[in-house]
Amino acid sequence: MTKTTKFAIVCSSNMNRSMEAHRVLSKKGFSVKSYGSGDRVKIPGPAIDKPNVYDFGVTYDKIFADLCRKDKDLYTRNGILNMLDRNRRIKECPERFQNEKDKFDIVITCEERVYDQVIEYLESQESEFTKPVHVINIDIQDNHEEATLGAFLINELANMLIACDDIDNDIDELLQDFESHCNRSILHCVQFY
Amino acid sequence: MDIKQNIKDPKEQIVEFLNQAVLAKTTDEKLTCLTRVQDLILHHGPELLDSFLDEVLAFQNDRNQEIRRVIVGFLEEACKSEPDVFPKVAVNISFLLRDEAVTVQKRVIQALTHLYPVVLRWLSKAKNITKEMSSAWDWLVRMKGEVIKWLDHDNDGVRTLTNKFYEMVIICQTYRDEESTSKESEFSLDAIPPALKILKPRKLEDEANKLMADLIKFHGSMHISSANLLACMGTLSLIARARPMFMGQVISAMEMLHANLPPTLTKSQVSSVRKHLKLQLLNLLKHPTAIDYLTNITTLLTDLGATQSEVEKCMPKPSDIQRRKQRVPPTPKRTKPDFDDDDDEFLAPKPKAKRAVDPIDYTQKFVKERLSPHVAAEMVIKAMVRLPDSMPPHFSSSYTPIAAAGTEGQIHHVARLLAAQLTAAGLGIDPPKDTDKNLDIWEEDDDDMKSTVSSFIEVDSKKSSLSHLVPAGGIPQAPSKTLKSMKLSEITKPLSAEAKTKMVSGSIIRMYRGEKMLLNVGASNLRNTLVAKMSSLFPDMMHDSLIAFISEDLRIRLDVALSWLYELYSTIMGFFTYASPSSRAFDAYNNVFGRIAGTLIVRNDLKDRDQLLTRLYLEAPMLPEGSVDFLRRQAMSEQCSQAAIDLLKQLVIYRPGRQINYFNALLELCTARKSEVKSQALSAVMGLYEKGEMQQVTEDYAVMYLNFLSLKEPPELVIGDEEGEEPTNQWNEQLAKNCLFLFSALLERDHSRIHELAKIFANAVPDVKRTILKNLDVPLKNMDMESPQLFKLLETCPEGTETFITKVLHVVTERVHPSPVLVEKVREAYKERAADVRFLIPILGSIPKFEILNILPKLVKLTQAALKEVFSRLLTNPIDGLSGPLTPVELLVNLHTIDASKCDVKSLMKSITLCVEDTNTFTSEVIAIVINQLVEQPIMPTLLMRTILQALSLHPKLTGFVLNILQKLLVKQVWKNKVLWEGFIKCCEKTQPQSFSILLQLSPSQIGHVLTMCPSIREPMYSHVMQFPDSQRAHIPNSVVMMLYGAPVDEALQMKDEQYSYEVKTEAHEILEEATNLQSQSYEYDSELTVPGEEAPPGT
Repeated sequence: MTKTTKFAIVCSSNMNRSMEAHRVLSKKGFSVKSYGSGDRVKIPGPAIDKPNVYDFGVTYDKIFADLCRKDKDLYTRNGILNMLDRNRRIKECPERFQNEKDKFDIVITCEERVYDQVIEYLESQESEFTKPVHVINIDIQDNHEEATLGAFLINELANMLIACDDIDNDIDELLQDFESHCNRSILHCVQFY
Repeated sequence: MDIKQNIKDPKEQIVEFLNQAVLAKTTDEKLTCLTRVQDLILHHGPELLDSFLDEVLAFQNDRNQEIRRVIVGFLEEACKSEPDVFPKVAVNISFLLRDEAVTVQKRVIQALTHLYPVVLRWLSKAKNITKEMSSAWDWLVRMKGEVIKWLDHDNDGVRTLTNKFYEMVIICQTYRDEESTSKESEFSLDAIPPALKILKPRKLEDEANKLMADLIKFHGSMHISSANLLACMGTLSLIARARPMFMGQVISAMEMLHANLPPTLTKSQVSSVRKHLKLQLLNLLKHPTAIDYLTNITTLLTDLGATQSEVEKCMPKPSDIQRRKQRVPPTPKRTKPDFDDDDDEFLAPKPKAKRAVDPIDYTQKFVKERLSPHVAAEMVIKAMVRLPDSMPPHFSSSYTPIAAAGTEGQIHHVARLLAAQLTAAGLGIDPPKDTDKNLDIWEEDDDDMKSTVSSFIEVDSKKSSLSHLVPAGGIPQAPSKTLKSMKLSEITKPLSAEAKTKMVSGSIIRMYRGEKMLLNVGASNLRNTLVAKMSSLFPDMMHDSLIAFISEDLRIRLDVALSWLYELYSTIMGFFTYASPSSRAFDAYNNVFGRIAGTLIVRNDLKDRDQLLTRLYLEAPMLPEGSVDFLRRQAMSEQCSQAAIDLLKQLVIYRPGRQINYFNALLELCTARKSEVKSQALSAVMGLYEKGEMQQVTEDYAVMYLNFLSLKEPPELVIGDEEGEEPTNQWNEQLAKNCLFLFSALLERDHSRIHELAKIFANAVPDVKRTILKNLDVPLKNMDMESPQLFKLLETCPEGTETFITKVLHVVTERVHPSPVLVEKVREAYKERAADVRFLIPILGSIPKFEILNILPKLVKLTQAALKEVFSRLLTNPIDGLSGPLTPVELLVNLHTIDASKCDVKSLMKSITLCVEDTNTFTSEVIAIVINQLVEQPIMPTLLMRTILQALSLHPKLTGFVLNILQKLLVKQVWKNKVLWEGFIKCCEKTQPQSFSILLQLSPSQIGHVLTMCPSIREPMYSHVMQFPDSQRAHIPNSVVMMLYGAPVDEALQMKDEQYSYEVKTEAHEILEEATNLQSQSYEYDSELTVPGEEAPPGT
């Protein structure tokens, strides 16, 4: 595989984990896109039962402005504004994986629920080209530190993947290596576009 | 390179791009150009395709595989939009299928997967099958045949895509039914017109069924890779949904999979697979046909951990279920006649919807009917034996409790699972060929039945216990295909010895290395045992590596070492049935023990080396012969003598079985050359002795060595003890000390042993005696002055032990005043038995003065050193430093007045000299008093003048005093005593010229004598007289002057003094000579006190 291998990083809201990995991978020159798999974009609010909810497609800019308006202090303190600021430098708005028509070689998900949703979606699509796509899940907790760490892991995995000549053949072993190396359990599945 | 040239005609553009592609230097450029060409061609219709096909195809031999892939893509797209092209490119595709690059091959499979229905449809729609078409079809069939074989290709990716190809072929070559979920546009056998000559639906369908069976077999194969399995599951599920007729097969395949996950999968792969399986089942559940398999699917889902709500969400509506159940089995949809190519025989419509009777179904039914609680319990009990001891981790992670145990549904499910197992193992019951026959035929034949059932239960229990009770995820399992009993020996070849060794050592080494992992699990004990067991089974090959392994981290791995030793010990003792006790095991044990101890001992860097060594020695099942010797040697070495000695001591205490061995080693160390080692060993021995351990042995040993001392020559045992020593057959201090060492320690604790020592002393050679005396201080330092042992010694006083007793007395009285009782005892002993004055020395300070004066002559005879000691004891008290029983004056006077009959002159001279030379005690004043007192004695002592002369040379300021004395001597008529007279003359010679006036008072004959004795003073005396004024000179007799002046001396002498004999002269001369030369003389006092110095007879 080469740097032209297309990566998709999916988390639930396309805010934190996928964006951090997106940032790292694109900096390293990968062809990468990032997505959310949830129904809507959810951002922690003033209380655990009062999240800020947006539709996919609302730009990071707008969300940023909205949160500033709501409680600039709070969102500065918990790093969300900072995160949004980073996100708007990367792309315009959160995107939903299920709305995407692009075909990828590798889809990396950041939690099991997201993995399920991605698989379910891919599974429901007709296979038009019989083009294999590997869906790989690495569990990453949804906080800044873990996101940073996770992005490194994803970067490492991406490096391993593109260094591989025949990914379809070697993926099993490669993932086993990676798994034992990063000491996290990995889910993997082959789907077809 | 500008590729965006504005050329309007697509043809020209294509030409341009193709040219650029040919000239392009990089792959990327080439790719871009070709993609553009593809776009242009496909968008502008078939005529362009025709004209440029060959040009594009020229790239199919490009060296770059990416380019070739693009070409495949181009061909695929071309055929899709213009199936007519296919015949032209079929050869090319077939060529590319055999490409050397796997990526290209994969791309071709991908293309074929999509071309297959395209071509089928194209053929189906054709009005006339041309030659071209049939040849194209032939090509396709040939390629299909090739791809189909690739289900067991080496490459995982190829297999994955082959899977998809199967899917497409199966779907295309089967009939749709009303419940098919796939798109209507999808190709199916329904689309093939019956009249088509080259496509025969029945053949195609048969092939599809066969492919389906292959696919299911692939799905259930043991060594399928995770990625393949995931893809295959997806494929099967898709087929089941598109072709519900396969639903049953697919569901049983999934049940099989669930029960028999491939053993090669890792833990996380298992979870991926289970997850995927769950997803696929949920997808199937949504399908209307699934209603028939509702219980199967839901039970499976529950087993996979799906929640109730998840299941319910996908469940068909109850109304649908109701409706479906009432519905008659679907009637065969296809009623079209099937024509055969060769004959026009009309074939009766075949009931398509009737599902093939699945062997699993059949077996299941069989099992279910017999699965009574009793049989179930029987199976569980039989299987119990084969369960692993502890729950495998993957079991607990994937196990979900059985929610509905005992219900009809669950029994059904268990039966199904068993049936799946049985079928997989090749033990399933094949459905009878005649499906019309009721299954109950089994019931009819009772006897037959019973035997079959029992055999099945037997097999069941075996099967389930072997592996299937434990869900897959790690334990390899290989169900045998047939009932035929397998003999391992028949199908295996014996390994070569080399390979065996390699494998054994490899596995053991891996076991060693698994240390950390096992520590976490807490199984390290088991592992230790296992490693030890393996190692002891293969002693020769494993020693080196295991010892190396253990040495790496002795702290942690000592346990392994100990287990190993125990293992070997058990072998030696014959505790095992698999290994017979042999001397080899014994050697192995000794070897292992020795090597571990050896490695341990050199690890000075290890902080707790000593503890580890102690553990090794104390915990090992037995200690080899050499191990004690090893410790003994270590004790001699620099680094770890203390540790080794401590260890020996502990061994004596904690390993009582052979404690005598260890103790002997300790005892031997007590006679080691190195004093440090010796004292450590001794303290260990004495520590044990005081604890009451081995007392008798210690004593015997000490006495044995003590007895050596009475021998004339040291015995072998004592000499040849240590390396690097010159063997000698003479006692020396070192040897004697070694023999005495242990006994001294005992003596210190028990003074009654002193008699034994005394006895030995009496018989010992002088060197040994000296050593004994030297080493008495320490053991006796605590001896009580009034110890009965001491008294007993004094009372018995064996012959030859006088010096010994004296030494003992010395030691005892060293720091304290001798007690009256002791003094009494000693005096008693002196008087009654020994009569050796040396006895009295230690108690001199406590003896009355008169007694001292009595024994003084005897004391004087002692050696110079002893004499010194005696004098100092007499003059000062050794303990408090106060004055002793005698003053210096008393001592010196008494020395002078000793009766010559009691003591020889030489000893007296010696002792007086000793006193006088001690100018600190015997100051000039003391000397003056003494001389005065002596001069006043009625009989002046013989040695008086000698002492005066000595005093004169030591204290020159006494000259005046001496002149006075000389004057006094004149008065006392000194010339009458020849010795004194000689001394007088000497004295005058010394004190000239002051003494001249005294000399001149003598008579002329006496002066003549003086001049004869001492001619050297004549000249000075003459000049002295000459200086006199005349009046004074007149008083001097003429004869004297004459004598002073010259020759007539002889005449005067002959006339006057003839009483001096020659002998006397010599005698007196000798004494005086000695006195004058005192300062420069070095004395040699031999030990013999009695010098026969006969007194000269007093004149004639």
